[in-house]
Amino acid sequence: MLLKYSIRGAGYGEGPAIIEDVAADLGEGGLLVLAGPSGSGKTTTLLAITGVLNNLLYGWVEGESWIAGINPLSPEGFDEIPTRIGAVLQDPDKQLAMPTPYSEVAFTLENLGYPEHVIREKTVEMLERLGLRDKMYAHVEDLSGGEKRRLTFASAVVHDPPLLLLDEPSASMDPWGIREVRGFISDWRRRGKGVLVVEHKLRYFLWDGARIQVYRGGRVVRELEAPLSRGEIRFLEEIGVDAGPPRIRRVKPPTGSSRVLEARGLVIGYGENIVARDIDLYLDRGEAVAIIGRNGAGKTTLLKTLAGGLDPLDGEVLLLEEKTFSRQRIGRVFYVPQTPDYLFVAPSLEGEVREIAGKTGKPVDWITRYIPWYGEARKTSPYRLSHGQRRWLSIIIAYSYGAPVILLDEPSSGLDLRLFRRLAGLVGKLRGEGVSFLISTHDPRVVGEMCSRAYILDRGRLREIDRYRAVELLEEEAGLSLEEA
Amino acid sequence: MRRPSTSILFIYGLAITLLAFIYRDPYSLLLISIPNAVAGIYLGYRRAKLIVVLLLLSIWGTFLNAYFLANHGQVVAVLGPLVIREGAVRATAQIGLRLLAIAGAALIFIGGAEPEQIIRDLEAELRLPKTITFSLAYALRLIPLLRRDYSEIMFCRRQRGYRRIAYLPGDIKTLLLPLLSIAYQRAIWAGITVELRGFRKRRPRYRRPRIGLVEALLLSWLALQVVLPIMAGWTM
Repeated sequence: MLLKYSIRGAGYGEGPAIIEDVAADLGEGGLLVLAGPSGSGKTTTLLAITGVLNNLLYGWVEGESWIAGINPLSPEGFDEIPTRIGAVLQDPDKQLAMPTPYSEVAFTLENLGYPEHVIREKTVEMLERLGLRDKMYAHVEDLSGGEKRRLTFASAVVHDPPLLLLDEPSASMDPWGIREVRGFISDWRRRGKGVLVVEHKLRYFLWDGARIQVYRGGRVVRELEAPLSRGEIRFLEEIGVDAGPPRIRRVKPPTGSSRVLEARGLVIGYGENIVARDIDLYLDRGEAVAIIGRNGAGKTTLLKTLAGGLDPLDGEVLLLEEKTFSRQRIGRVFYVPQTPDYLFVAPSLEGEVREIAGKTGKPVDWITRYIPWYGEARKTSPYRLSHGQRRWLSIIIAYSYGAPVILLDEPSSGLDLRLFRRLAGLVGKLRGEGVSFLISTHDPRVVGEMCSRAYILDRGRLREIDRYRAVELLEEEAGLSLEEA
Repeated sequence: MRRPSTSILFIYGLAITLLAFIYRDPYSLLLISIPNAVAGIYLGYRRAKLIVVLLLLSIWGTFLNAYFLANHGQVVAVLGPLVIREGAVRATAQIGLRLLAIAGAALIFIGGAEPEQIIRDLEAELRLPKTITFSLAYALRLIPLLRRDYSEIMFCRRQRGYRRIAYLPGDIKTLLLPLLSIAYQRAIWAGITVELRGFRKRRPRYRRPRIGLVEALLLSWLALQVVLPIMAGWTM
């Protein structure tokens, strides 16, 4: 058995148990998926069974865990655990520690005491296998999102461990990247290795025979095996796990509304480097429109140009039917970044709301009316709010500034299905109040459930695409199909 | 010409930092600050523009501090309601030159060192503890991320109606708070990852530092910066 654990309880510091009575085992070539809504204890389980929680994070674990014959809960076992596992975390930017792909992969082997000639040989071979050899000495910041994700895999498995642990591998990935992750997992299992995945986007990991443990409130509430029945999918979706195919809802387009934003012949880029050209797009009052495309296609550059953060290289942008310079759009076309933390300026939610009130002249009560969880979280630092709450707050900040257009960059990234639906509800409510949204996304649910139209940015050109086709394309590129899912 | 040894560059940077704290005489400080700042900006500006921005912010902070705490002596300048006196100028110059020397040395290190060699060379040649060498290597990895964070935060601040150039303490707080909070989160997860990749098992392999022409030139220039103030009779 590669992995066998039975945890009676585990928590942080001297705090209460975050997970209770969780147990599982995993053999060679097996796949175990821990699924559940955000905050249900999936990542804590991963940290507990690898010994990170009690050996590194000053937490506590009661119970047993064995990984390939080692007990990682003991200090001696924890020292040996890197030889038995490869771990890939959610965000490549938080995982990559070295400046170049070569040094990143070699770092693992150096730590484990491999001789220098073996380090060189294995590092080059692994980079070659994952298509990164040509960029061996490039700075990791010059890699695309997909390349960074591949590099995290390379550095996690270069020493050929028997067990691979993946924490939300689909997060921050476009469908093209998700297909690569899926291919990597299949390949790894074919080689007789075990794979444990923590995910709330379960539908990407539903290979026949995959075992699924469903978490809720720190406990395993159900154990399932793929393929799932309709009833099981419904149950999972109700608790916030993305298990079924994306829906395409009828999103009412605004009626008789005026044009709020329009780009004509826009050329975007940085200096000499043109990212996309001849962009024509429009957005009506109260409308939500999606922009899809690969990581690196230029979606964020387009949003920042429309928001006035970057000057267009050519073309014009009209706001409320008037031609504008970039600086005139700042704050009126409000850009909400993929990392909402960039927007916060105060050490507490209460302070944040006061800052908004001070800058916008809106009463504090007016602002807090849009934050239903304000009372329980007002003393909390905005950086310590849950992912969904931070996303929520960032949209309310934009709304409070009275911007007629809000640009959302990957708003569903890291959100479970339940939080996504709440966010979609908020966007729907604000649309009803006349705010327009332009949303850059990889998520077929955003296109299918939040937006009434969609554009695709591909190979430097933007074109309008049928919403159904956009959802289908995103599914196909991830290696699924709407029918199959 | 090949890049100088990372270990020698590190020794050079450390020595200049120590000299910046030891020297008090303005001529001595000028000797170590101007050449190192010029060389540092030439070599390291492309990799670490942020250090230059932070340096300017620090000098401005130093001036504000000196204006409120050491603004005595003869009047040097009057700018509207601001009366700037000799004490404030002297204190700003003294600390500013120190910061300039330290930032210059840091930029020379960043610009001259091969990032992927840092952890290996410092560990193997100078026998520095792995926790220090890793921190240095990770800092270089973080610089571009901090640069990206900085530019995102600055744009978000502009959208929220804050000043484009943060120069008052309140402005600086709204800039540093997100910058540090995001970096802190990132550092926690990076720590977990490197431990899961066997960092605690890491055993260095020692070797002697290589000293060729480039290293000899660098060490000679360092020696001059120590000896010249003594020979010229400038007070330390």
